[in-house]
Amino acid sequence: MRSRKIKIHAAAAAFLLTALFVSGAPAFPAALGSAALGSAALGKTNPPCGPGAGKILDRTVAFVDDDAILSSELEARYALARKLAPGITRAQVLQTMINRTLLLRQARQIFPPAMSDEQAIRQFTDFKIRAFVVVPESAVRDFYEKNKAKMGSAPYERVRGRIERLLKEKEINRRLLDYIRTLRQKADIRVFLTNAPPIFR
Amino acid sequence: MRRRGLFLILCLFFYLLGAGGTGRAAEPATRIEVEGLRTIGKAELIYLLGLRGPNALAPANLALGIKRAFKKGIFEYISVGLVPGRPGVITVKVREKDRIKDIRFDLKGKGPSRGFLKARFILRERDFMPYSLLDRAGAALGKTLSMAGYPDARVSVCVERPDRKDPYNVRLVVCVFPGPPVRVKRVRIWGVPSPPGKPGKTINIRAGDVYNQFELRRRLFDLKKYYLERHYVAPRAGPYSFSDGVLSVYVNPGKRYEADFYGNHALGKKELQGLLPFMQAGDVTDELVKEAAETIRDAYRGKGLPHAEVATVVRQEGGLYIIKFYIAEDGKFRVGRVDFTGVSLPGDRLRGFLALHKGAVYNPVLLETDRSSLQDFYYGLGYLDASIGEPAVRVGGPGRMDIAWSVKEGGKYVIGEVSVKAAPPLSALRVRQAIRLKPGDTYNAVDITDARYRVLELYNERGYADCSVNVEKHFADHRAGLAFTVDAGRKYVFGKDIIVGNRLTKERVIRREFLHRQGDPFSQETVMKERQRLYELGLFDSVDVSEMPAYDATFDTVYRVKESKPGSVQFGVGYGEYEKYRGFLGVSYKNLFGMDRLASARFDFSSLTRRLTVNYEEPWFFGHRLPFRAYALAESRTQLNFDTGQTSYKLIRYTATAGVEKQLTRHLKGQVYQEFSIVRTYDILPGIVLSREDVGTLAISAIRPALGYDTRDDPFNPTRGVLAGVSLNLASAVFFSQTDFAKLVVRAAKYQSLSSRLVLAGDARIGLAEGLGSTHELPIVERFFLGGRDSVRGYPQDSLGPKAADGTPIGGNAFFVSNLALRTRITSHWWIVPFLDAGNVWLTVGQIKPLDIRFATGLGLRYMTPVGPIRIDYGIKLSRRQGESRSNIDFSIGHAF
Repeated sequence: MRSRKIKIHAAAAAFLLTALFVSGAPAFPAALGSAALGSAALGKTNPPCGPGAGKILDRTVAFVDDDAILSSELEARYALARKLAPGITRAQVLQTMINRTLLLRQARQIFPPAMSDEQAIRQFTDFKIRAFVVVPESAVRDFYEKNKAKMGSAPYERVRGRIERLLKEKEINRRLLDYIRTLRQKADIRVFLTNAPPIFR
Repeated sequence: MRRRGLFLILCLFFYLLGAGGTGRAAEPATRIEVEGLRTIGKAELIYLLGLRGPNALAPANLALGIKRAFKKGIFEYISVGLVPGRPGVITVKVREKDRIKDIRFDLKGKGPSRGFLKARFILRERDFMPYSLLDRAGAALGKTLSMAGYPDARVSVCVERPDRKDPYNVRLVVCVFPGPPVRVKRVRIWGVPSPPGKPGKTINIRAGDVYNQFELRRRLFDLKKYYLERHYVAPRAGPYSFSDGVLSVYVNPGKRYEADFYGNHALGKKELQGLLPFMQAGDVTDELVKEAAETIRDAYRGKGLPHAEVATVVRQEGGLYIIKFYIAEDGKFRVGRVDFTGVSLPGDRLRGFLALHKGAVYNPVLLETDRSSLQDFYYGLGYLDASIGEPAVRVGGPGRMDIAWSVKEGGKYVIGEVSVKAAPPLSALRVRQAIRLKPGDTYNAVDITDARYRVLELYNERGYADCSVNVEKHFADHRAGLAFTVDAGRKYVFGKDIIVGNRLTKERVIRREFLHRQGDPFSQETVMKERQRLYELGLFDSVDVSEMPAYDATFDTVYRVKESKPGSVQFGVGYGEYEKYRGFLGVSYKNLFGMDRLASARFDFSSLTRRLTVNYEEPWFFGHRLPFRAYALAESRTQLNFDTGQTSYKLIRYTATAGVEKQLTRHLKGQVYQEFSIVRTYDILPGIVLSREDVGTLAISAIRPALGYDTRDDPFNPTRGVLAGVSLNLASAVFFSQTDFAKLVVRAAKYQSLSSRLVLAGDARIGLAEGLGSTHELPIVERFFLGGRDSVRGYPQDSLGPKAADGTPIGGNAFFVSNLALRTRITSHWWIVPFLDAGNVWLTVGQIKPLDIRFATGLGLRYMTPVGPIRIDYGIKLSRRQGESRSNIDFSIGHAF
């Protein structure tokens, strides 16, 4: 029963990362949408103009330097995210999209433009982060000893691989957050979720 | 009946009109309204958004368009919408990024200077305003102030919009409250007792000084540098700590060495010092001393002293290591005979590319290089099984080393069958043509790689950016069968072009340099050529081209330029024997109206001349790449008789010239100019008047076609190449000229680099002129004159050729001049130039005397600048005549030819 819990943890971590970086879906809101990585007003992406001002077909909801994030993209991601996490807000989804944009910009400096966004991000994280993460044997053993009670009588050799995978994903996630935090500090990011800047005539 | 017919026609007309109106309404946009745009044109924004294309308002296309426009880097918000009740009207609202017009530092109290704050503030004037980084910029400056000795400093940054008419320009006001500084009460240096070099003096921080860590670190760096320069191998200046006003600095110079060399002749002490590894290693150990001896030994081998031996003695006195290198250089060897055994190829062919060939300095280190070269050579000829044995080296005589190579050639491989599996759209035949390899050719791996790249290039230039070419090789009986298989991949096309960074330069100036159109097959080669063309405009410091991620097999291309400063000021002064003082002042602006147009003005002055020239250049004329140039000149000049100092004549000239140039091939340029001058000649000595046109006011109008051929590597300071040209000046009443004549000038110059320091330059010019119609003699301003800084140095300016009775030069209708110079670089900036000049002027073409040539030689000194040399030439006449001076000095800018 306990070893099954570990399995679930590992699978969940892997899923969240995969979902975030492969499909771009905001499947990791607690971490990537957190206040630590930026904040945004909550609410719908209402058009900035009042009633009668016309129908807005699409508009910018945020930008990261010279990359725009559009209302249409946000709504599509938000709809997808709600299926996975019903309580998620647009602002949280937007933060994950900003993070993804930051990573994609780095990935695009290395990988050819013919490569898809998802593939470029996946390969970039593999190259930049995953390749450098090594879980020492002592950390696996330590985790096993601390959680032995939860894992029942499962012998170390049987759960070792799964613990290593879990710890590795956790470490990758931590380093990724650190890396994104660094990127955020250097980028000019603005969010126009509920309001637009004044337009000069 | 006629009325009914008319009625029916009218009905049909209005029906068609209505139908036409309905059809247009179905188009994506009949009207596009844009709000908020300031920096770029409406057309460019609509182009980037793709609002004129098919399905422009489809969500995916619209999103793509907004993202594309954002890449321009100037927007922070874009929305696209429809206006209710106005079908077909699209409204685009944009908000551009604010730009920092200026940054003001408001220092509330005594603290660091504004210059210090400005240098360390992370935001810069004229950059876009990154609002999200504003707080961080303030915090970073606060941290900097803390490091500078103001730990309680507070910084607040606010944004002001000083100009209502220009709302995108903002001013940053940085309020700095420095607070009280932390001061040093005492400086304590610790580490080793009484370190050398007086570190306290170098650090130079005294009681009462502000505890500025930036300054402290700089001085510690200086201290470390001081020790390194004195052979301390790993000195430490720092770390430091600060507590209760006491600054404690750790200083330990560490180990030091002194190296002495004995018995060295082929290598100097400075060269040998440079070979020692102690500074790099940061230590002095027995192993490193051994390594140093080995390195010195290798250096001697490179000098042809293979038997040189190095012995070392090390003595330690505290932290000082005294190392003595005793060197026995022994005899110097050169390579004698180089023989080969087991070869079927001619020995001379093999010797041709060996580093150790007959007469070369014998360096045993190069034996392995030569062995590898031989192996590669045989492999390149298809001898895949060839093996090169160890060379046999023996002393072949005094100072001579003979080398014998033994080679097992093995069999020669040739290419067998070449099969090609091409992919559409290219046929196997076309691919085979690109491969160029055929059965029976010598097998060479490099040729096969080249063939593969040629095939890749063939597909890439047709838009197949992902193309891959696989080559399989099958070896049998010394024949290699090759199978080329092509996977073309997807075909990509050029999408839209996004031009970024052009603040001054108009978009169309950049776009007209492009070689592709939207929808053309995407080719990296095309992109590279376009990049080159943009560089060649001279408007940009950098040009980067990248592709945006592909969509629908389309690449949008981003051209990111960094503009260079368009304006420049030039000035210079000089002195010559003829003109005495002379100088010039020029201003130019090379990007007028952002259209790559050049406007310049230059004022030349001397004791005899005042000349103002205004120049205008337009690189594209009537929409074609046909450079147009126009210039106006106003000149007042006094011509002197150099020997007597008497005024020969004075003239005032106003000239307007306009014409076009065309680059016919890479090196060949054609040009046609029309020139109109009004010349007033006065105070003229009677002796030099040859025609009625020589006195008074004269209008000269001429057409001047010319051809120029230029292969020089650098127009300002050529080291190789050819410059040749022919020009014809034809003045005629047809062009409203008051005088008729034809002038032909032909020139050819050759520049040849003899070594890295020597350039041989030679030049010859011939000029022939004839009066036409009623004109027998050319007016004096159009006659040829020679002598002086750009023709025959050693003779005063314009002093050669026919003279009036009083000795004043009167010029002529024919000239020849030739120059030869050996330009010799002595340092990176200074050159000396021995030269030989020859030439003369004759009154008419019929009076040319080929043997009547005046010669001069001399020596020049040049100081190189980015726009050519500043020069002084001292010329001595070789065929001096009675009454002539012996020599002449000229000062000028630019080479003589």
